[in-house]
Amino acid sequence: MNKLKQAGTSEAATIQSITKSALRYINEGDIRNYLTPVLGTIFLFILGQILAPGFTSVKSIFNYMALASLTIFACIGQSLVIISGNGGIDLSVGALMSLGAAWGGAMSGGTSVGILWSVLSMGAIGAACGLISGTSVKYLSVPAMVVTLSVGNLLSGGFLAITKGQPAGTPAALFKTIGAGHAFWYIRWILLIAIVCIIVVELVLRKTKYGKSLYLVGTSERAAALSGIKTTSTIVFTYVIAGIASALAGVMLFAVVGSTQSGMGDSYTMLAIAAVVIGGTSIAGGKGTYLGSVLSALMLTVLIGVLTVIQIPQGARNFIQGMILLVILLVYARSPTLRQ
Amino acid sequence: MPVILISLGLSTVIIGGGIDLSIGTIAALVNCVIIVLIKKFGWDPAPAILSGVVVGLFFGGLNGILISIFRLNALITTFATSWITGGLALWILPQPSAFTSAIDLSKIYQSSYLGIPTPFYMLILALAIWYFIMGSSVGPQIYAMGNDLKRAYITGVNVTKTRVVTYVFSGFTASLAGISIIGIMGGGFATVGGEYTLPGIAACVIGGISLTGGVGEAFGGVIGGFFLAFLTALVLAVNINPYFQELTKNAIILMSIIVPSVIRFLVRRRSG
Repeated sequence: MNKLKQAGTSEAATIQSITKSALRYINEGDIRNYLTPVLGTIFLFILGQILAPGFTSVKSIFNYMALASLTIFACIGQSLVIISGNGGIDLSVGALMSLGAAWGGAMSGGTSVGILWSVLSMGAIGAACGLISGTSVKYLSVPAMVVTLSVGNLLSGGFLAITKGQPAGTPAALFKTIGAGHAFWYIRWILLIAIVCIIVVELVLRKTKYGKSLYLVGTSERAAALSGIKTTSTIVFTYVIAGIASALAGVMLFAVVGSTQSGMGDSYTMLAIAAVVIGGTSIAGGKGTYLGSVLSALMLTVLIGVLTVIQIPQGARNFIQGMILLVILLVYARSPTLRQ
Repeated sequence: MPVILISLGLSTVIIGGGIDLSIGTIAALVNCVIIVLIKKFGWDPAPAILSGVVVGLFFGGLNGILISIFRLNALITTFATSWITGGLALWILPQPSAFTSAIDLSKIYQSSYLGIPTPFYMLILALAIWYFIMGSSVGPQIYAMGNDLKRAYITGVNVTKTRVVTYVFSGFTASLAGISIIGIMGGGFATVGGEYTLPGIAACVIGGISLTGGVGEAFGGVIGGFFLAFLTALVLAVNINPYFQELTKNAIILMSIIVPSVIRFLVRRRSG
């Protein structure tokens, strides 16, 4: 009898320790941040089903997940840069994605070897842009939004120079498979890539030295410097990573859409910022998770889906997106009063 | 001229330690509101322009209230309102629309009165209001706020009021810019205004206004705007392949933001 009791308690203890170690990765503040987008997504799917029957089917749910992957890629750079703090924000995400798409179309030339070239060279371009932004922010103390906005505009000019204002590019077979092909069941390849991305970014943020120093730098750069972190290289590195991530997201965008149009990636700047803020990342830096941004990206994608289904004009869609960002800011992102 | 007006408004906001990314799209919205009122509802130009200015003032005030009373981050708030105003502009005027009326605004715009080109009267009006603000007690308070928000608050500056004043002024210059877009393009364009925001910021930097706030003179923004306008005109005049014009223009803007900072960085390093 006694033995049985002991076995029971030891079992309970093991379960407890397992749940504890699992819970270590999700603290209470995070749960609230995850819950909002998840509930929002469910609500939107129900709303969509009411407004347009057939909106919510297993197929369309997975379709939206695949569509959201693009915003999820765009969120990588934005999350990292916003977490790095000190007014960090990346307004060049969309332009970099547009350019990445044009580049992906121009460089790959319809062959699979070309894809490797386009990925490598576009990654280099992204890194260069990140380096320009990062060094300007860190060494020249130009506000991040100003330099990233102007780098973004430069890239839009570059887009025009590459495409000559015309839709171009034939995607290689492999691109088509990645962009639109299904791996199995309803799961598309791009969704699998997104899942791998989410796991890698979350691990980097939570487990590596870089990730931990990024949070500390975002919280207080001075404290981070005093505790021996190379703050300058951390921040510049963050912008470079963000540049590479957005550039490759653009190549992905090309794989999904299959052609290039002017300004095709531009809306992702806004989407990424909105997703990161809804996902609970503090604009002041140092706080937030990538997973939160991912869930919010899904919510926003479904929202756009609903708005498209009920046929709202482009201008009104922009207006609604702006309003939503504003409401979210009002709920989440108010800074403390001056008196404190 | 739109760039110069916009950089005047932006410089006021930036000196006060803020930023306004929505100024260009407010200009676009004002532009579209005026055209829609005249064309669709058959208003006279004068009340239409007046209500356009009211719209500009309203959104400027909205920015100021959101940022000061609701304590939101200036950058992201104005980024959101730039989508709201730009979206509204595109909503009410999905296609560019030419201007036709008994009084031809673009003809007035391109003529001159008493030997001075008409658009300059708008600039003079905006500058007069700017100097009126500077002359009142609010002027020094804007600088104090830009230098150090907390210290300004402690020394008794009405931070809320001062901030709202800077954003309302920027909304006002945006509506003047929106009017001048009608003059230049001869109609309403929902997407043109947004393109003026970044050159406006660049003009402020060239004009010696520190983006961290508290330093500079709004007239500097105006001079920077003139400089930038001439530079762009020069680039476009030397026969560059049209597909590369945008690239060249934006490269110049990026350079004009970065180069002064590089110089400042080198000077600081030598002296420090």
